[in-house]
Amino acid sequence: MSPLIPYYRRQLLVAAALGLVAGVLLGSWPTGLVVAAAHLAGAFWAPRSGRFVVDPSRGAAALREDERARANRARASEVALQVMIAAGFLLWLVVRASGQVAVSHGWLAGLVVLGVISQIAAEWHLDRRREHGVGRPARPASRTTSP
Amino acid sequence: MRVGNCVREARLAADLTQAALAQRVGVTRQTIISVEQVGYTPSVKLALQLADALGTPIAELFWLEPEPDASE
Repeated sequence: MSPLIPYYRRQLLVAAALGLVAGVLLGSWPTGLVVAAAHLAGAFWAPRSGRFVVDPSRGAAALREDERARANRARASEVALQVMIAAGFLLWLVVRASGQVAVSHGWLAGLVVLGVISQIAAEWHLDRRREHGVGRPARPASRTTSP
Repeated sequence: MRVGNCVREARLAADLTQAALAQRVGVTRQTIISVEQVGYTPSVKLALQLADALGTPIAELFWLEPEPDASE
């Protein structure tokens, strides 16, 4: 029996809850089913992705991020916040120049979507980052010779 | 200054796979790959754990080196 059974059991419950909420809020049960299936697919992929530390002794919380993943997420959040602030300022300038007094909800929702996309893109970029053009450095000569 | 390392050489000398080393120090295999390729500079804690897991003094495993000259 897989040591990750408690983890999968919890993810099954979360998927059912998400599907239920999506189905009720959107009024479409097929959409709820798709949301639940997408969550389950992600839950099954995660332990095999190499992106999480898998510790079955933690039961339902068997997956956790390591320090590099947390650092990348924090950096990506900074980038997303900066993008949203810059876009918000730009939007404010445009609205002010056009003489309007209110911003439509659509534009504000667009700012949030832009932030989410920035977060995902920045995390993806940071995950694949290498030091600028140098590859792996050679070991210093002083360390390769015996004293 | 950047931080160079010889984690890959030490790991191979210890006859460990990236996955085995990752499990020993409690990080993902991708983090070990990133450290070996100098794409990620580990925290002091992780550097000490790596040195301990590989049985190598930390000063032998990590060192400071100057940034490469952009004009070269």
